[in-house]
Amino acid sequence: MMAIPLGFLVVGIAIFAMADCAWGEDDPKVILSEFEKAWPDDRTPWRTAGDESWKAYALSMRRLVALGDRAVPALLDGLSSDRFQVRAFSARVLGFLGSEKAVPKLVALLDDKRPEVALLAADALGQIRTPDALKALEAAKAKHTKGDVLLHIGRALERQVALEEDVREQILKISSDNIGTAKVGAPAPDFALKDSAGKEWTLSSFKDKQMVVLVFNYGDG
Amino acid sequence: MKWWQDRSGAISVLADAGFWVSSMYGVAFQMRIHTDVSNTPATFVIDRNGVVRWAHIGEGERNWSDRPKEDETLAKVKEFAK
Repeated sequence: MMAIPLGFLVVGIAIFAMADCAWGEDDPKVILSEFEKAWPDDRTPWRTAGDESWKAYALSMRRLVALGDRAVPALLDGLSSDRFQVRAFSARVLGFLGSEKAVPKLVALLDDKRPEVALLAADALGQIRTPDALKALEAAKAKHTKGDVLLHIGRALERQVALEEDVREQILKISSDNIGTAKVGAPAPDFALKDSAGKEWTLSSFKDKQMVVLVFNYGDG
Repeated sequence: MKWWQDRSGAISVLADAGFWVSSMYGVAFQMRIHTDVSNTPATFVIDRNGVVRWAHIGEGERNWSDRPKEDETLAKVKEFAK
């Protein structure tokens, strides 16, 4: 007789555990707190052997962008975090989401004491591009005279368009299945990206034709 | 540098604004550039079969300057062209 209720109990716990897990996958607050743990303010800012915390950055970004508007309230809270890495990251994701609701808080963050936050707020405002966002960027440009924040304010104003939809689509292609999969001796992960003239280049189109040297550079100014 | 300059136009500059390709190649968010977080510099040599044959990924505190010389990359291209 005891076996039946015990069985129910076990099944009950299993279902509860699965439901909890599914909620965690989807809850923007949980995603943001996982990012906060993986990316502390005093994190070493360069690549060291074995450090895989950058994957948490990329995957948290992807999961929040995938949630779209549902992620916005948690990200707006993130902009008020006492951790500058959380403020900076939240600003970056809100820019990718093109969230007009975030504009007033992002404008305030142009004066953040941490330049890491102010410059990503500028990037995000340039991507969102409402009249208020552009007005605030112009005002901030007159106020700042030097440094990285001014550089990003200038770049944000120079953008001709809001964030392109294909950038969001590229972010959604990041997954735990393909992240960090490029390995010597293994097939190169395929991709298609556009050059500055808008022409699309697909890595696999070179197969059986020619070798490819893929160089990752970084924007400096 | 001259080798690259002589071939300008043959080298395409692609934008990875969504960090998708730099994530797949394991180089995203690994370098501080001024005060932003960016990909670390890296070079991958891919053969005609589409297989990665050689990679140099910038590491350490000075990863922004940890890049292979052009001659080294060219030597790898020649090695794996066979």
